[in-house]
Amino acid sequence: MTQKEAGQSEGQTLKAELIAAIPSLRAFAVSICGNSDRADDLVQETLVKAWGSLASFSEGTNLTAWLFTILRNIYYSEYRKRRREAPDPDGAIAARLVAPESQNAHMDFLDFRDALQKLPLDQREALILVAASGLSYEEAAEICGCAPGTMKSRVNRARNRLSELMSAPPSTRETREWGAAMRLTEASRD
Amino acid sequence: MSRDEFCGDRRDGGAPRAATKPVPKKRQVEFQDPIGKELRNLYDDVVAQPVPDRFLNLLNQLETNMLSSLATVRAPGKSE
Repeated sequence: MTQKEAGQSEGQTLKAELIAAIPSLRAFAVSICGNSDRADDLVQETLVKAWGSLASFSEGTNLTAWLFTILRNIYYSEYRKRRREAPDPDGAIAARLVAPESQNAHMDFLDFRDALQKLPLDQREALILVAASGLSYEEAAEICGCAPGTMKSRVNRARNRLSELMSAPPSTRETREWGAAMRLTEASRD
Repeated sequence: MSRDEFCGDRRDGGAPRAATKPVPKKRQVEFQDPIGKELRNLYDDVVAQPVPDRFLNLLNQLETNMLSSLATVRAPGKSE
């Protein structure tokens, strides 16, 4: 096989594998940033970066997890840059930009997507990686560079916080009752 | 973003190691509460969408660049 042919087949295989990973990558991106246009820009940057740093990808390891790690790094550096430009320590401004409180005040339940974007970033990504992407706590921990135990507690905190956010006005309903309320909704839906 | 069903057609003729159609991977952890379901719906909705052309074009471009850089590094027709 000539160098050119080798390059060609390597390129084909790699391309096919990257294409196969794109749907998950897009789903991860849109869940983490909450905006589909921005998500696709993140995916684009990730693909370019991945193609350029294939040397650092070890054959036999999980390509999707590797791509998630790259996307996450890109997202974090943008996120930090943005925060330097407009300090928003609690994410309060960002949260308001995503879901104006006044528009949702009449609703019993906050829209799920909006609620997800109100979670602190570390909790949000933990929840998405484990509960949506279907990675194990260990795999997710590796992507985020933390211990599996930390991952578990972030996922738990994310779930608690989400149920708080999605419950009716906290003044009228105890957070704990949300579980029961949702079980009822679920039963009536089926 | 379009909501079309993923059609799963292969655009290239080769037999790639990885299937082009995303096979729903079994999740390691499945939360059976409403939050778990909402998350899976949100995620699976996007996974089911066809790969936008912009990404297919991008990868074709990256591949072309790689091949042409290989061709310039190696003298054409010369093999070991």
